[in-house]
Amino acid sequence: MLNALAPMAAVLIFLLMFILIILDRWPHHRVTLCCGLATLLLVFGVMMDDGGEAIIRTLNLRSLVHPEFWIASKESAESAAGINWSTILFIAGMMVMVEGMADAGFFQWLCLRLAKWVKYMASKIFLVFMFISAILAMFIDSITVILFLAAVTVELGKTLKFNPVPVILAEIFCANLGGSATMCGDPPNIIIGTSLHLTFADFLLNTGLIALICLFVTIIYFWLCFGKELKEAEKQEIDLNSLPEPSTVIKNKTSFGASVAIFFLAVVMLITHAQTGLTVAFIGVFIALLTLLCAGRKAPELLKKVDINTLLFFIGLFVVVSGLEETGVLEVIAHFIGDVSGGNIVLVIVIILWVSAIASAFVDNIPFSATMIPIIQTLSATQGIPIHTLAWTLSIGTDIGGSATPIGASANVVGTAVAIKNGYPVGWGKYCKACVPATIIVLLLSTAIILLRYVVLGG
Amino acid sequence: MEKDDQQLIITISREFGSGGKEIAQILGEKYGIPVYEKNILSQLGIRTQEDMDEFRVLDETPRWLIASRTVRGLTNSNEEMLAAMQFQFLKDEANAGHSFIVLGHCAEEILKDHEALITIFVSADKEFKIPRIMKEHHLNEKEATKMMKRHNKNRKQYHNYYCKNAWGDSRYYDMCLKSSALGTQKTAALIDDFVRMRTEEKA
Repeated sequence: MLNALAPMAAVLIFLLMFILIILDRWPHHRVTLCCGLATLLLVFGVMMDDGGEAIIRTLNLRSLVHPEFWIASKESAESAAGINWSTILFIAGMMVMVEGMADAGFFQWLCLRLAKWVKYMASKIFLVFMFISAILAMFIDSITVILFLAAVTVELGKTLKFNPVPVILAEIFCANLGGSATMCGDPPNIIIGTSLHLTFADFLLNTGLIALICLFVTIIYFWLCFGKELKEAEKQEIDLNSLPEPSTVIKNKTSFGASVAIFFLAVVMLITHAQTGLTVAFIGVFIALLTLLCAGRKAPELLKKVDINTLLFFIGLFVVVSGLEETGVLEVIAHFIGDVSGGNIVLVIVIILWVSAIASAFVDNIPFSATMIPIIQTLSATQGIPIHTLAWTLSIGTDIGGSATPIGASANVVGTAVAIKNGYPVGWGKYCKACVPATIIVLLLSTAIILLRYVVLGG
Repeated sequence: MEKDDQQLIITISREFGSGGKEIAQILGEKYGIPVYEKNILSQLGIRTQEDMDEFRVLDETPRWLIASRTVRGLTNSNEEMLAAMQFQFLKDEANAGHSFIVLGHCAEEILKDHEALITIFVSADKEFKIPRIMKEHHLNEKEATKMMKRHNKNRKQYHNYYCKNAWGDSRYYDMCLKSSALGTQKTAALIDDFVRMRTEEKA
């Protein structure tokens, strides 16, 4: 009797979690952890009669001591169920590295160096910052990228007398696009990649190619929207003396050099991880340890800055999603999508891409993608559609869709928050007027590329 | 502005239509101190008229929870960010030793640690408020009632989102009174007496 109620309870807990996240009244990590605990106790502990097997599978602690978790072999077959510790360790490692880079003044230096390089011309800063936003977001979490880019943009806007809001909106869009290009660019991609055992190169050659084409279209779009306004701003008289020299923001040259070297090492390790066999969990832990070692006495300070709440958010989230998976709810949804599409691959791609995009525009794309992974796995198994095609579709849908509204992705929240904090209000109207058409254009283009490459040309 | 010899900060929380603004202006003129309400916006360094108009609509409005998110302690709620900027301005003014009167804006809680603070809540009977709203906004009775309810709901939600104490709860104000009992002029005079006695007592 109780066993039959388990799927319903799992769905209710999941919906409650989503509603509480949307309401944003309580810290998100507390919401997911409480809902995760409810899933463990109520759904797995009380309702499911399996001797605690579901709890063990969900906590997934055994994977941590498995050699395959750290160094993968070609026959690697790690379970994708339960808490995705690879994602959590990798994100934690990258957080430590990014904190080290920020502490050394890397991001501010880079932004100011680029602004100086284009002779502080507003329209050129606009173009260069869009590019750098996309490139940095390929390797570093987009929140950090936008946090620094937006802050420097506001400062440059004040001195160079241009409106920083269009530049920040374009940076946000390009950061989300850049994030979709690689496995480590955006949390949904890390979850998709680690769950489906995809490599950095897999992402780069698939979503990376789509992102590159879309980036050029995006830059043209934003240039047509705001280029004239920024060109006009260049005609004003400005005082460049109040701008700091790029080199002055470097606090310590040794730690600056070390943090840049660690960053490049991380990039090399990620690009070559399919050849070396090192998993993203290993890379994350290794890079974090290296950063802490180089930081010396500053290491505890760096660790304190790591956003532990985000990691706790992921743990809770994975448990709640496991509740849906273990009780068979996600399988039912997958079969429903399969029935609606009648097994037609074109329809499945269109549904996954656009539903993911629309959902991600309004709800956090991290829980959404975590929920969708078991669904696309079932769809692939039952409908005979290549799992990789569905993975790229899901990745592009969630990453790009998140750009449409001010709440769709974390980078949007941070970028608009920086603008508002500095006295530049960015409401839904202003944001969506610029970003909704861009999102639709990029989604249409992505749909066309995916269908052409994976359906018409067969991959 | 230089530091005032004997600092005086009066916060007036008020029901819509109760004449709180009028009372604040009478007291402001009497003491020769600024009255802050929507005009705080002009003190925040907002650059363009377009941005100013956008912020004006959001002044003292509650945060619409589903329209914004918080990431790493940063929120993109225009309402919440504006409130934070206004709270900071009030704190800076109070810390600089300036005297002023402030209408609403959670000031009684934001400035609660200041010795010079006097907190007032002004309510009024419906029969007093509705004709005032009708006259000021050129509305009929039904529209005025609707407007009053909407504004009071917004003020309450706004206040209770940022403050631990409930809006209009007499335990958290030095003085709660109904402006309809004496009219706005005499209510201002009554508050003036109270202010005088309080400042004499402190002196």
